[in-house]
Amino acid sequence: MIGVGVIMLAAALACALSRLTRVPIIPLYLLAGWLLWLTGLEAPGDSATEGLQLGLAVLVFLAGAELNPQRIVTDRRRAALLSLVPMLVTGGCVLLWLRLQGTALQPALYLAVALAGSSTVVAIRQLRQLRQTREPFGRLVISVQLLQDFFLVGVLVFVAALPQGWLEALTALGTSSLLLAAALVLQTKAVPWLLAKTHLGDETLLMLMLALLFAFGTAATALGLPLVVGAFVAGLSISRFPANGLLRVQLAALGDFFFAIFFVTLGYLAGLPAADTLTKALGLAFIILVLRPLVLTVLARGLGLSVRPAVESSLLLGQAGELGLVIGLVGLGNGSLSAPDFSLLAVVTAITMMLTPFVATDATTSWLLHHLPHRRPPAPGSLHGHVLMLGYGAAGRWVLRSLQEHGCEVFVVDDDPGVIAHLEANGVPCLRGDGSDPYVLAAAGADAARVVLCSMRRSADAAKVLRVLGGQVPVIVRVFETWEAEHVRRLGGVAVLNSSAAARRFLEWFDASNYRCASRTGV
Amino acid sequence: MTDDFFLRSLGLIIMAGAVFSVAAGWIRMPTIVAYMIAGLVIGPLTGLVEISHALELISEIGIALLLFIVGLELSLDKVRDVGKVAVVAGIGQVVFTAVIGCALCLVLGFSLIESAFLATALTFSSTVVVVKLLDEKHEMDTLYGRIAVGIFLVQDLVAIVMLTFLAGLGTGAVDPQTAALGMAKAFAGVAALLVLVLVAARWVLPAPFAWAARTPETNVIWSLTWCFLIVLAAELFGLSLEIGAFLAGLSLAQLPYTNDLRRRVHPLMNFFIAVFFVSLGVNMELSAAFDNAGTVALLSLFVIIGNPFIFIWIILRMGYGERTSFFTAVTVAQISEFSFILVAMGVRAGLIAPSILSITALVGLVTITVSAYMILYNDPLYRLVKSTGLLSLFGSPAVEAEPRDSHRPHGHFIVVGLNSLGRELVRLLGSRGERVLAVDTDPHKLTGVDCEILLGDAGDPAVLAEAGLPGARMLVSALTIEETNDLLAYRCREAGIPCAVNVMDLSATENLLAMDVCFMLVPKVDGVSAQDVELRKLGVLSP
Repeated sequence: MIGVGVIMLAAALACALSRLTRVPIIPLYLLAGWLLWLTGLEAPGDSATEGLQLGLAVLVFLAGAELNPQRIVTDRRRAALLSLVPMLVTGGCVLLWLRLQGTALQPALYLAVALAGSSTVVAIRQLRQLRQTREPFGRLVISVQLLQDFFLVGVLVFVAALPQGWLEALTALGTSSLLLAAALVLQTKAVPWLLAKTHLGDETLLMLMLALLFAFGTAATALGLPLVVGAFVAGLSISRFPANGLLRVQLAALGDFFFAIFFVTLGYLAGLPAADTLTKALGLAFIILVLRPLVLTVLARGLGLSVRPAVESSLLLGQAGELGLVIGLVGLGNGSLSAPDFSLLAVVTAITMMLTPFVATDATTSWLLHHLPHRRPPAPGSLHGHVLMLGYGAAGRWVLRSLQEHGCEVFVVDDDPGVIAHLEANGVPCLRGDGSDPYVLAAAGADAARVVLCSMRRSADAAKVLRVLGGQVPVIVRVFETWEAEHVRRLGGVAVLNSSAAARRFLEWFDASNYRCASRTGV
Repeated sequence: MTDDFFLRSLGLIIMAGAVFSVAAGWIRMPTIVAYMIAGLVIGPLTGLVEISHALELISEIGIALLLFIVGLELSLDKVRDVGKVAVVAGIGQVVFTAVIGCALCLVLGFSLIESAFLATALTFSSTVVVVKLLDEKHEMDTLYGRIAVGIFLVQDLVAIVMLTFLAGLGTGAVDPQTAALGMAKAFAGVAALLVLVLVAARWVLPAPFAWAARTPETNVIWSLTWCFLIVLAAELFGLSLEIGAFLAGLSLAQLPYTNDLRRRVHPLMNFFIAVFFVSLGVNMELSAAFDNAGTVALLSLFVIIGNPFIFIWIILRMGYGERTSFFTAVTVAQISEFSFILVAMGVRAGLIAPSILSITALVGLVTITVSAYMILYNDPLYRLVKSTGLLSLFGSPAVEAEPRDSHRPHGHFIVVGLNSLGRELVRLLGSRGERVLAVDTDPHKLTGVDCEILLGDAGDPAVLAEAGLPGARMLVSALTIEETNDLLAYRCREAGIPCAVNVMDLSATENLLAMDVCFMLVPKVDGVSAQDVELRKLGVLSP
């Protein structure tokens, strides 16, 4: 019990630090573990190994449970390419760098696989902080992450069996696909049936899902696969709605606790790497922080993303992932990785995760957009007295129709190639680009417009437009939050509060609906 | 991953627990009983599992979390309206049951110390079993439900005193002077710890926990850390972890975010306590219990019949009606998890034979099983007993007007998510005189809102139950989180309550329509008409 208390105390300090600094929690948990290691305390040792084993199983189970097929965007080819190619390039570069540094093939291979993927936890957290989870590029990033996790587990199966030979490795892949098939049957047939027919209580449901974890874990071990593969596949079997939704609250409590136990213990057991591995660590951090985002940006542009979402996505994926640590731990367990190699992996993961919130920001994106070479929009045209729509979005067609019906000349700026293609096909004058970019604004004749309608996803972008135009043209900005409306008004814009309009519309509907009468009589 | 013995054993425990709890659900058996039977099957009957040190640690964490949650429940507000009856009936029943039970055990041939332990074990009823069953029946807020909870809280306090007493005896003292010294040390430890946690609760904890509460994860980790630290402090004072965990919960109970915290810790407790109860079954020495089958039967009958009659007699004397007295009394017809802990401590201290633990376990198994059915079917049972004329022996009034329960809201709107949309909905509905309850996970967003408020994750069924979903007119979600909105729509459809949901992305509408959402708020589209007004003011659109 002393061990648990000490680990939780370290975790509590990490939580506080995370709140204060906005750094993701995982590297801070690792840091807390390292601090415990540095103090030389032996207290966590009595329960550390078992805590690590249980935490590992639960962690991977939760990662699998996140892999909801409905969360993968419809453009799966683009998501798959954005997952696979950077993984291959990053893994290849890591392998090459480590071999150049004299690392043996087997540990180098493990480290390459472990560092190839990004962190789902960090990316989703950062998207939430930037309020971009529901934006198209946010959805794409989440899809890429989830697919990466899936691919990584597959690679883990292969690499774990590789020391026994290629044939055995391929057989392991085939065996794991059996587990996967079983999980898919559960996901699509058995679990929905169970939920619909049995109406199990929350406690029983939680126990049943945890039983799945251990059942798949036992099956994986019996088939000669790592236990974590079973845990991941078990998570996959409950990843579809409504199972994942019904279990979310239950699993969140377990996740919070075991995340803390797992990562603090991991830091404590891994310890810090020796100083002579600094060159290796710096090289690996460079590959993940610089090379991978570069590859991602080029690839994303090649796949049709605009510059801004391409850069933003790349920055969000510029770190090593928590699943990499799991892979490293499996390697440590089967003797493929040495303790110093694992420490190196933990340090590189922590450093890259810690830097993400400071790198993946609007400021960095703007700086890069300003300095990166990219095609400028055409020179200013002869637009005058038009209505300029910055951002087409979900309501664009209604706005456009209304304006056209009143005989207004409309010009649209949007960064989505699909939207631009649609508008061009319908003969609407438009331009693809970032609506807050002064060059784009100039090209769209913003200073000569009759009015500018701004519905871009970030209120910061609207603020930029207001500053660029400096009150020359009326700018109407549609926002959701009250504080955003106040900000727009302070900058001289006209704010339209979408949330207020939606609330009024709801009441209009309610008054006209049957629910009003029904509810009064208590039906 | 080199040593998989621990995970294999834990896996067997969880799998057996899950299978038996599903089967138990079909016959409406409480999960605690199912877990104990599962433990019996994988332990004494088949020998598949042995309890290792790590599993014992998990069980200890389970007990700590259970008592932490009991401590969190001990809010003075909740027992104020039934305080008097809870204290009188709680203490009265403990005294009567202990005295009569001790006499019964002495008659059955147990030694004085064994009789004392057994009688004490028979006095306490299971808070967890009863609260869970009341929750399943949605009768927590009935008068008898509130009285029962109040009584259990009082009993929990008495149990803490008993634990302290045992902690004193557990020092190994044999002569009265040393025993008294040990007890004095234990009581001094409790007093010191109590002062520590009360001072912390009053002056130290509120500010940091108010800060932490804005992030649920931080709140959970800090609370658990506090729990484990106080447990360690209790060990430092020579007290049991149960006392430490209970006091840790008690120190946080007065903070405003306790309900949310309790709901969040509950699933974690469910997992750990399942391991505890299955392990309890694994460790059961059945032969000793079956050797004393007659004793087990007599003691079980005493708990199932004697305890409720003692209660009916006390509660009727407090001026409550026959029905309320009967329903409340039925809830105490079982022994508690405290009973196992108490007896286990006695065995560990070498004061009583291990067979007493087996007897207690089997009495627990029998009484928890029977009483669960008694609680679930308390209404027909009441009519049956009443028809025999047995209740008239207590001189009770024949007719009783049950007070109407007005605690849970009814005919109200539930607004989930207090972003700008949620606040506007609350304001507009409130201005029309509608009863509104707002739910959010962030306490800061709930401050200054002019309606009833509830802190918690609306995806949690316990939160929706507390928000009175079954009696609501409509649930309106202003959240921008698609997964939670889908879940709320699903829960509303299950409960048959109309639901309106905020949609930030039109691609989400298909899912929501499939779940019978009756209205979708689409701010991005609804804002267009407001924008048109501005465009008319500017003369861009003609009036």
